Amino acid sequence: MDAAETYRAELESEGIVEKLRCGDPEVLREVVESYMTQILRAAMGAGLDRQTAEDVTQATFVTFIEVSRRFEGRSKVRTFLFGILYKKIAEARRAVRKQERVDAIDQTIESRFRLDGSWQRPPRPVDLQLYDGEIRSAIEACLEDAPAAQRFAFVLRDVEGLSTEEICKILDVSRTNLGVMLYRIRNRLRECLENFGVKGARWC
Amino acid sequence: MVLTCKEFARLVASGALAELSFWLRLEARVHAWLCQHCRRYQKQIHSLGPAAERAWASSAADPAETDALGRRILEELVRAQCQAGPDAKDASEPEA
Repeated sequence: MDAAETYRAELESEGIVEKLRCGDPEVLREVVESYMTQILRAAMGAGLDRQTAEDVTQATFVTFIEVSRRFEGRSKVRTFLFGILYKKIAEARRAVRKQERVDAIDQTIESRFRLDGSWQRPPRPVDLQLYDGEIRSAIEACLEDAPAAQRFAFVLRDVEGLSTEEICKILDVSRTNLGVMLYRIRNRLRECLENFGVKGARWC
Repeated sequence: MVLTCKEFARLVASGALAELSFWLRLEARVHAWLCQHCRRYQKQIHSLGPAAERAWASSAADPAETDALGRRILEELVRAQCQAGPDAKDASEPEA
């Protein structure tokens, strides 16, 4: 366990809550330093521009401190923070619905397969070894119209590497719902990058 | 039951693969081993996260900007705390 990890484990301990309640400035600094980058990255990953993402990050911490008095240590600090962030993102993006009944991607996926479940249009090789800037704009373009909740699920799971259990708590959805969200967003992104990235060069 | 490509794709992209029983997981592995399309699909799905991480890392990690934001947030927090008062505990506390 490296220093940062030990430190984080300490942060997750119960003592932190008590200290937060008492307004220990040192603890405030520790919480902000430990989670701010992650929160900011997740906010941007969820589709907010830099400025909005910064505002939302700040608002998340402010709310965290405000409600930390009611925080009984039942969940991890991180789960709690991401839960708040999720609501802030929803506010920032207004209409965020958790689960659409139909999603255009469902039809796209259907069209990939024959009736017997075999590939009708198999995935094409994609070259994702694009320049950083290029891949960023490709991913941004691909995710632009995706529902915010799905994007956030993708960021938490595939970028931040949180467990499905923790994400279910953060988004307040069932495991099955999370599965559907991830299924849709990953396919959406894959489909879109396939269209972007097919350049003949083989990626896999 | 023999796993179809469609079913395999659903398991991979929804993350349900990990929750399957040993034998079903084995069946999925064998399927991927035999089917190059599914193998490619799986590989592509798994590389989405790292690709996004790489793409976003360059934009979110400017240390100067991040530090400035950290300071701003702290100032804001300290102000919020002072307004609330350090002893402003919730009255509903003991119920736990």
